[in-house]
This record gives sequence, C-alpha cells and structure tokens, in this order.
Amino acid sequence: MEYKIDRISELPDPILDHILSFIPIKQILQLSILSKRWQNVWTLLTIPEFVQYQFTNNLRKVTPEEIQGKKQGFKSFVERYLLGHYRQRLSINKFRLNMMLDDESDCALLNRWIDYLVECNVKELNLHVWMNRKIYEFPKNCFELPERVFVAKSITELKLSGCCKLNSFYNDINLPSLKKLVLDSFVENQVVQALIDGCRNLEEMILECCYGLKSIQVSGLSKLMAIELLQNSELESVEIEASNLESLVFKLTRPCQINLGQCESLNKLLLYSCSITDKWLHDVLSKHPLIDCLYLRGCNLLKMIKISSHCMKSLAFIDCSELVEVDIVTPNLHRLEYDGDFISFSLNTSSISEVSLAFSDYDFSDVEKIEFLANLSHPKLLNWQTFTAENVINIAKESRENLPSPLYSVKQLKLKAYSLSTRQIQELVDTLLWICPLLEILFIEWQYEEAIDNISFTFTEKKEDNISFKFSYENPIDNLEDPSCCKLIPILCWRHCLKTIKIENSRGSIEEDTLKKYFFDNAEILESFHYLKGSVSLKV
Amino acid sequence: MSSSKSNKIVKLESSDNKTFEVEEAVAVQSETLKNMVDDGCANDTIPLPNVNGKILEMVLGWCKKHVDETVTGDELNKYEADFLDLDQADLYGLLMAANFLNVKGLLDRVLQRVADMIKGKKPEEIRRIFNIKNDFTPEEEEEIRLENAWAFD
Repeated sequence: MEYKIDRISELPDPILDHILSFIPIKQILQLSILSKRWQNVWTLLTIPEFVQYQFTNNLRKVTPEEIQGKKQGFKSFVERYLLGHYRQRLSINKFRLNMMLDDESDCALLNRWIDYLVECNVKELNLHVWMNRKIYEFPKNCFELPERVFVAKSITELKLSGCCKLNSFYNDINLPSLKKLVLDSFVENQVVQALIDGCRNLEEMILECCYGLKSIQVSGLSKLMAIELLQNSELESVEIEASNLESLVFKLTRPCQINLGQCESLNKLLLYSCSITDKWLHDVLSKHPLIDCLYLRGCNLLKMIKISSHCMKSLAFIDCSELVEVDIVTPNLHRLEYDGDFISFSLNTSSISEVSLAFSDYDFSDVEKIEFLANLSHPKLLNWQTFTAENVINIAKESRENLPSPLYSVKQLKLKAYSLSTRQIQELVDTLLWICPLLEILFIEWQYEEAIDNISFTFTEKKEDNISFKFSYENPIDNLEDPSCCKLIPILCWRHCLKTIKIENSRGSIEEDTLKKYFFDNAEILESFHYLKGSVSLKV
Repeated sequence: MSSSKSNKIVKLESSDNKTFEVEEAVAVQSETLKNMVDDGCANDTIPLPNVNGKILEMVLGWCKKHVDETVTGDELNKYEADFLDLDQADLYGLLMAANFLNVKGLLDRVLQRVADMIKGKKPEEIRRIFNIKNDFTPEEEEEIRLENAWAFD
C-alpha cells in the first residue's frame, strides 16, 4: 500500500534549485501557486534566464493592453528578483536576459538592473537586448551599455548581443576576472581594443557580426586559448600573438589581412572564406607545427596545398574553388573531409580511418575519378554526399574492366543522395560494390517528397528514407583462377566471398525481389538473404 | 586507468545491513567514497546508514556501467534511460543517495528526470502527480495568479 506522500516539497533547497534549472522561467513562476512551500521558489534561482516572450498568440487575438500588462508583469518580476538579491546581499552567479526595450524608461530600468547585478557580484552576464525596431532605427536601436559593466571585478563571462552598443566614452576598462567574452554587437573599434587590452585573464574571445570592428590586435594575453572572429563585415586587419592560443576560427566576409605571430600552442585552425594564399598557409603551418586540426572552407585563392606534418590528425578542404593540387604527408592523419573537384591528390598516411567526400562537379574522366579515390590512402570508413544518384552510378560505367577498384579497404560506406529514385538503388549498389568491393556495411540515405493533404490545399514535405546492407564474408573453398572482376586488386571481391546479407529498409520502398535476384545472380557462394522492412537499427 | 589505482576492493554496508563489494575504480565514481579512499578510511567496511540495499545496488550498478570501457555511447544512453524508469519512492531514494554519495552524472540525470515530470504540465496536474496539498485559500491563490499574470497564459 503506497501512502500518498509529497516527497518533492520536502527536498532541500539546493536540490530543488537544481531541478528548477531545467525548467523554463515561465513555468517556474506557475509553480508558485502549488502550495505555500512553493510560493517563493523562484527566488532560489541561481541560473535564471529571463526571456521576455513576445506575448502574442497566433490562435487568439491579444489586445495591446494585454501585451502591455504582460510586459509590465515580466519587468516587475525581474525587478523583484534582482532587488530581493540586492537587499539580502545575495550573490547572483548567472544572469541571462533576452528583452526588447520599448523606450527610454526601459533603458533606465535595465541600467538599474545592471547596477544591482554588479552589486550582487554577478559572474556570468548574458544580455541580449535591443530597442524596439518599430520605433528606433539602426543605429539608434542599440542599447548603450553603462560604464559599470566594464569595471566589474566579479564578471567572468560577458556575452552581449542583440543590439548592444559599446561606445567610446569609457575610461579605463578593467575586467580582471573576465575569462570569456562574446560580442555580437555594434561596436566602436577602439572600445573593443580597449576591452581586449583591459582583460588580462581572458581565455576565450568570440566576436561575431560586430559592425564597426575594423581591426584587432591581440598581444600580451597570456591566458588566451581560443579566438573566434566570425562575419565581422568591416574587419580589415587582424594581428595575433598569443603563446597559449590553441584554437583559432576565422569566418570572413571580405578580404582581411591576417598576421599570425608566434602562437606556439596553436593546434586548431579553422578558416572560412579567407583570402589566404598558398604562401600564407605554408608559412603559418611551418611556424605552427603543432596544428592537428585544419579546416579550410571557401578559401578561393588557394591553388596548391602542400602539407607535411607529424601532428596533423584532421583535415578538411571544402569548396576551395581554385584548388588544383593537394599534396599531403601526414603520418598520423585520422580524418579527412573533402568537397571539391577530382583534382590531383596525394595523401601519404598510414592511419586514416574516416574520409568524407562530396564533389561539386563530376565532369571529369573516369581515370581522374578513380585515381582520386585510389589516392585516399585506404580509409576504413567513407561518408559520401552526392546531389544525384546518377553522379555515382556513372562512375567508370564503361571502363570497370580496365580500372582497379579504388577503395577496397573501405568497410563501412554511408552515402547520402539528395535526389534518388528507388528504381536506381540496384544500379547504385552495383556501382558502390565495384568501388568498394569488400564492404561490410552499406547505408544509403535519400530524400523524397510526400504530398500532405490539408483540408484547403496540398503541399509536399521532404522526408528521409534509407536502406542498409550488412554483408558478411567467407573465403571461397575452391581455388579460383584469376577472376576477371578483381584481377587488378590484391583481394577477392564480394562476388566470390559474400556469404550472408541482411537488408533493412525503413519504409519498405525498395523491392525485395530485385535485390534478391541481383545478389543471388552475382554472388557465387551466397547462402542467406534477409530483408526487413522497418526502422533501421544498424549504425554506421 | 592510472597505474596508481590498485585492484582494491571496497566494502560497503547499506542501512539494512546488506554488504556490497566493488572494485575501487567503481566505488570512486562517488566523490564521497573517493575522498574516503584517498584519506585511507576505506580499509574496513564503510557503513552507509542513509542508503538502503535496494538503492545502493542500483547506484553501484550505475557506477559499474560507467566504468566499463566496452560499453558504447548508444548502449550507455539506453541504459541511462531505462535506469530512470522508476516509481517515485525509488526515484527519491536514488536522488538522496546520489546526492549523498555525490555521483555526479547520476544526480544530474535523476534531477532531470524529476524536471521532466514537471515540465509542460499545469499546476493542478503537478499537484496530483506529486501529491502536493494546496494550502492556499482561493483568494490567496487568485492573488498570486494576478501578481504573476504574465506567466499564466
């Protein structure tokens, strides 16, 4: 017999607080009517996120008065929370606010809240605020941050976004505890520079979409470990020298001069749309031999990439449209990602486990395509993305007798095609099994359109379908004479060794019989064939 | 695994006098027990008077699973999901034990589970699920609703 015990109300405050940290603030406030014990439970909150919802509801009309009332209620709530902490001299660890300010009095209110927060020794401050865009035009719709924020001794993490304005009238900026700075704001260049210079314990810096940021100089920050400069549309020049810097991410939108001084700890470099040259890349890689992760995307001035590195573990070359030659000597490389053309590619490594490929243009000769694939240094796992199934099906369609299967080392292949018709599956499997003749797991994924009938109209929705194959092999008992299908490679292909197949097709959209016939016709020692319709359980 | 960890066995006794023997590597998933081991207090059987046998067995099972290197990420996720499928009495027992023994991952998950039982539900339903007695008068309740009107849609 179970007594109806109210255990949850007996839980100690710190535990209740932890539970509440998983619940959105609006609902926490609703809990205040559960019982007297719960009435002020929201005052416990140490990890609040105050989000001012839009207070509109699409299903029923809400009057402007109602919206005003709700906004007022929200503001009072935040005020009560902060004032309560301030009066009782309680510390606030984290404070996040997401709010639109309607007028000057809202700005004054926010200034006062910031005062309370600084007095309450706030550590992590996250403000996403902006002035009502319907009333104020850019740049007037930026909220000007009070100076107090920039001399707060307690702040360890500062995130300012929405439309916060950092203006140039601050005196000394000094944030001695600041470890993480994230800006997504309208800034004045000198202010950002002063900010960077005034935070000597800074460990992580992210500057994103900062309109007004033209140049940055980073030096003398001995604790700085990670920098991200993302889509700052006016950035022209960057100079970085930081001996403990490990990770650097640049996403540019226009040509920008990047000068990397000695950053001897650098191990991760991600460059998107950067106008870097072959020489720049080569110099940076030689000066920073510890880089183990290099990601280049849309760097359209690169023509020839030459890398020789003992530390390199992960490489990506994506959409670098002018690339004609890649020469890599990296004995410890594990992962390679490539999206481009079938260019001259030399990869010297013994340890590659995973390769991800996508090709923008399949209009190359069969020899070029096969050579490219064969140069990938025998990966075990291959991820392949293609727009159409035809692209893959047509690889070396007429010349398979004369070319060696390029990827006989691959055990797991995952192909994602955007456009594929179920009639193409058999041909696709045939091609893939020629390219990778000893696959253990093949997973093909594609999109299809489903017509949704609404009462008033029909529309199509894109959905995903997939099919997976699990192959197992056995060495054929009889000695084979030089078989024609695999004479050019050092192993016997699936046609001679395939023993069992297990297929799972989530929608049952692929016909079992076609596949059954194909495999039994082509696999000499095939014994068992299972086909399951239902959700795919194999993971690649 | 560091070479300084021996294959020592740690003995634990629950409130209902059940004894459990586990490897040190399993036991130290609990910060509380780890501190005892580090301080040299773990040589005899450690009594745990506020954790009963059923709950202690569950906690040790969790610790064992998280130390096992052969368990894959997917298997672990499934294990954790099934693990928390408990009635309220056991859930709270587990919560208090995880808190006392300071098994970090476990406490987080249990509390998340409790939070999931609350999320998205109306106050009346929450009262019903957790057996919370409403000790407000209708007037008092109405007053609170008005004060926080913006939160009640």
